[in-house]
Amino acid sequence: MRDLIERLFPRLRESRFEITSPADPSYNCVAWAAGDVGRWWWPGEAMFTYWPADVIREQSIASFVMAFETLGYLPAVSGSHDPQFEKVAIFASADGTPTHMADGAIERFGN
Amino acid sequence: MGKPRSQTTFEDDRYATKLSGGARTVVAHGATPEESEARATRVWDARERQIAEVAHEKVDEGIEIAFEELASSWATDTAHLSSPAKFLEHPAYRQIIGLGPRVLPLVLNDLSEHRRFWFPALAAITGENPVPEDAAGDIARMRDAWLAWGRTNGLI
Repeated sequence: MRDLIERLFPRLRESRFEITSPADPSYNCVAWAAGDVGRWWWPGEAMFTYWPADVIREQSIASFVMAFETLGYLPAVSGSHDPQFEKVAIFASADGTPTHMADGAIERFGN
Repeated sequence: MGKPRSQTTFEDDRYATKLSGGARTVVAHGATPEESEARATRVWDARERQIAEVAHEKVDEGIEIAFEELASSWATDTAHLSSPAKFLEHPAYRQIIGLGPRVLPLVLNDLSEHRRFWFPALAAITGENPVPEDAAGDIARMRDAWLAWGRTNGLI
């Protein structure tokens, strides 16, 4: 598992990281950020994925923001860690297509 | 006298049932809705015959080796991805789909054992969608639905 992670993310070789749990294919990163470890959250491919009802199914940051607004989140004014707020981060490619999400402790992601 | 070469769009219940579980549009070039429906029926009848032929048969060793190598390659390269569309784009995933109904027992067993995201591949190979609409994205229920489908069809 460690070899695979380092192959996918080569810069991790230069830093310290630890594996805290085995991989679980029951959910993806978006589901983890949403606190739902039973479903695969994604706005595309409605036949195979979950996305909150009434939120437009498109691979855009706006769609991800709307999805998390259904859980009570609001857009943050900064990406820095604030102990008063529970934050999630949306990662996107240069063209604005979301690729990944992470929850909590955003300071760990270098913001 | 030839038919006008036009684009006819209509709702086809058979495609709707087989491909998406919901309304799906079939576009037929220069064919009447009846002709397109007849073609669709022949396509899916042929696929059902192929699946029936695979049932209860030992999987070819070459197919098994190919599947293991392709599945391993796909799983390694996409372990960090979330988008099912990205899974489908991977050449190894597409090659597994290209193996056709012969690979179904292997895919279903892998789904049971490793719980990997085979749902798009299963739908593409079989044209079926046994997953209830309200279970879309619920990995455990999707897996259970497909494994039940596999048992019903004698594939596992």
